[in-house]
Amino acid sequence: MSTPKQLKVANKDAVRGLGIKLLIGLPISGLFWTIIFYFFVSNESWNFKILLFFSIFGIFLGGGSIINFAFGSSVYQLWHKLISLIDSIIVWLFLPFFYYLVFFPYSLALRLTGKSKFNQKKIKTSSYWREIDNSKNNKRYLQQF
Amino acid sequence: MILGISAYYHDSAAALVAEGSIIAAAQEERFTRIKHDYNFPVHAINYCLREANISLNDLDQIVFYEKPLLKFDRLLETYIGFAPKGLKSFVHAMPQWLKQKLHLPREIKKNLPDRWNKPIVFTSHHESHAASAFFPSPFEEAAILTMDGVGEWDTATVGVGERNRIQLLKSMHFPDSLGLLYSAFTYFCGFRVNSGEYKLMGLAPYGNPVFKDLILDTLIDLKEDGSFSLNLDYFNYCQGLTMTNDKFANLFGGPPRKSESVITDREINLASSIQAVTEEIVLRMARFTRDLSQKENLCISGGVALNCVANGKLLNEKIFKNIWIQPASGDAGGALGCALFTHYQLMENNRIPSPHDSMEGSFLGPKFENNEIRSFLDKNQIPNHFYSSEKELLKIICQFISKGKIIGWFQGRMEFGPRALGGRSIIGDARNSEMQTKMNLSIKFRESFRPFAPSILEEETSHFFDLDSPSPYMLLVAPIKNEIRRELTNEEKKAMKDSNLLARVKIDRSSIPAVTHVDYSARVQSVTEERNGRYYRLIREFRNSFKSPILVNTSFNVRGEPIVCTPQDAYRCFVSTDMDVLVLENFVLLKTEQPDESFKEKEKYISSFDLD
Amino acid sequence: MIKEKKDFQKLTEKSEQSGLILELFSMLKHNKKWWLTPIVLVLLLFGLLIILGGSTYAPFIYTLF
Repeated sequence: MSTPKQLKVANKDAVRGLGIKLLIGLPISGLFWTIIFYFFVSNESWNFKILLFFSIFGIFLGGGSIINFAFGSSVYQLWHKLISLIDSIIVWLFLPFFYYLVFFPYSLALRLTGKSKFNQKKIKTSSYWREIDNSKNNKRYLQQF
Repeated sequence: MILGISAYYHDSAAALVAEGSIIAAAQEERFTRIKHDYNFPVHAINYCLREANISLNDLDQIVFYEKPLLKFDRLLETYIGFAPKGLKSFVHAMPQWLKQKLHLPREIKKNLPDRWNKPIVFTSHHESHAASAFFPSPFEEAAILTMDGVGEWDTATVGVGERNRIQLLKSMHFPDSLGLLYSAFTYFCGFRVNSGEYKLMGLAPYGNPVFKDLILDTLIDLKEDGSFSLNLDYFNYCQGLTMTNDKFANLFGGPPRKSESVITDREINLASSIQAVTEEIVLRMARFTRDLSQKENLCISGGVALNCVANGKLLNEKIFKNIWIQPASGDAGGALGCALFTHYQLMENNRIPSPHDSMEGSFLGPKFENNEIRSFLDKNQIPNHFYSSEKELLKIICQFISKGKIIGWFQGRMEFGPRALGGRSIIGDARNSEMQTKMNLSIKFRESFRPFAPSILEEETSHFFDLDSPSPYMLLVAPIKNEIRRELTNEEKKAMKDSNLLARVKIDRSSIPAVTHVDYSARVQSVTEERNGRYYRLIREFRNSFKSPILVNTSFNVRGEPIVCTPQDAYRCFVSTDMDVLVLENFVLLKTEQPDESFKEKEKYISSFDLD
Repeated sequence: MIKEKKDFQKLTEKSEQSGLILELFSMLKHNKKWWLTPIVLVLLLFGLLIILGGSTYAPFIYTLF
């Protein structure tokens, strides 16, 4: 039932857009790390090498992508591979974590208090048909429930 | 003007309704060539707008066929009921919900071909099904019964339709579902859920319902009024990625059949048993519907309504005077239903039922003119013969059919719904005893046990079938008349126990063997000139010249492929199979005249489709 | 007839689609399923994380921690 990952097709605009984001984004990340380092690792001197490193990286990848499309599309592909990697880590690591540690205890509690309809004792009944609530006004049709 | 959309589960589709008539409706799979495509139906929407020659801004409303948040609520509650089981399904489903399905208004607006500033209208899943069953029907008033796998919570509903309104009165809730029960057996017998149900139905007449009582005693608690509760100990669809579990397998003597492996007596008898149970449930539900509604007409829709064997039994029981079944009863039809619901019930427009029905024979898709076809043929230097006179064209085609040739028949608008009804069909002579095997194995590349349907002139129906009502959409199975049946010899009777189904299929049972199933039944399509136009005239010509008012009619595709949409699709399918002749409107193409290089892609084409 | 026809048309012309959060909570309220609230909230947060995790900005954000 899950959607297969759609292959991102690199077009000129998308590649250029990513180039600009890298050109601006990587130096900002560099600055951020520089600050982190200053306060948490060595609070004596600013280590601007980190900023420089990130910036060169950003200029190289971002600038390169803007100038050369072929280079840009490989950066684009790589970037999206990274994204799908992060995506799968979140999905396959965090979701199971969440399911067992948060969702399961909560549902257990609900089940014990009799809120879950799937675990209620079968009541002897002569019909499984349910009444449909027809007190709808037309506004209901703009709602998603 | 109202645009209806169904999407994101299976069989995406779009439909356009204007002034109460259905202008266009099509499934996305036909354009993208991906069977059961569930992506947002961009192509289908563009087609609908093109057909009406309008832009998005001319629309009054855009409607989606179900309530996404209610479905989300059902999913959450199901996981709550089963955690910590269900992790796999949770991890598969959640990302898509959180990213996309919870944001449908945004998602829809993003994918529309133009800006849309008004809110999107949402009807419920079974309201859409019910609307698609009642509003196009020929009835002023009628009872409505919808049955499918599951929508939001509902799995079956009973209601009434009067003039321009429908009202749903009773429903059954997930996980108790007739559609899912049938799909569970489809899965267990080694076929694909959501597409293999037909195969199970086709397999049923080969066997005996020996498991019927076991199913009724163990798996379900069936009430007199057709409502039932499933014993979830035996099913896995709430918490897992399969339909049934080990306990189910133990009950029926071993694990599920592996897909594409040999079909044994167990599967055949299981098919027969679940079919019998389904018929029992449908009949009980129908009686309940009649008692509740006090109407003499019935409209049905939802995936289960495509079970034409059950429909035939329902008709035969005469619980209702008249029955009308929506031809696009699957989720694709929801697009049409929600648009009609908005037009009639929400916008309160008048409804005047048309004496036959308002489905236009279900020919609601694209049509290709002769000049478009000519430019395609010329551009690709495809040898062809053009017949400007329809009379001559039909004469020559009938001659081919009488010689046992298999014809690709492409004309008029494409059908909406899963059946080909003479717009995108493969046809042949029903009297030819080789036809069923040949069509199954070298045209469609599918299982040999599957039956074919007859198209018959409506006025001739009663001479061949025990059927006293029209069946324009191939949704009723009827017994073949005794007069045309053939008694089996003792040797043939023995062969009917052969484990090889092909041996059983090959035995002639009537004067129309190609369309006679092993139990002397046929899935009839009755054809009229008003509804079917040229296709009717073709069969009439065949009757006048060759004394038979019946043709074999199967959909124009190979196994796993969506039905063809364009002349290109048709030509590609034609050169990749053993079809002899291709008719594209007034053009006739002969296989023997096609250049060698056109066959080069044959293998690649056939293997490009996933087996269904 | 014509007056009523305008009713739904008017309704859609003057209404806006409600946002997801509002819709979800109206649903819980309407169906009296308050006990689902905590889990819906947590899932929504997860949704945010997943949406960010799948966006172009994801690698930036993850260089930030």
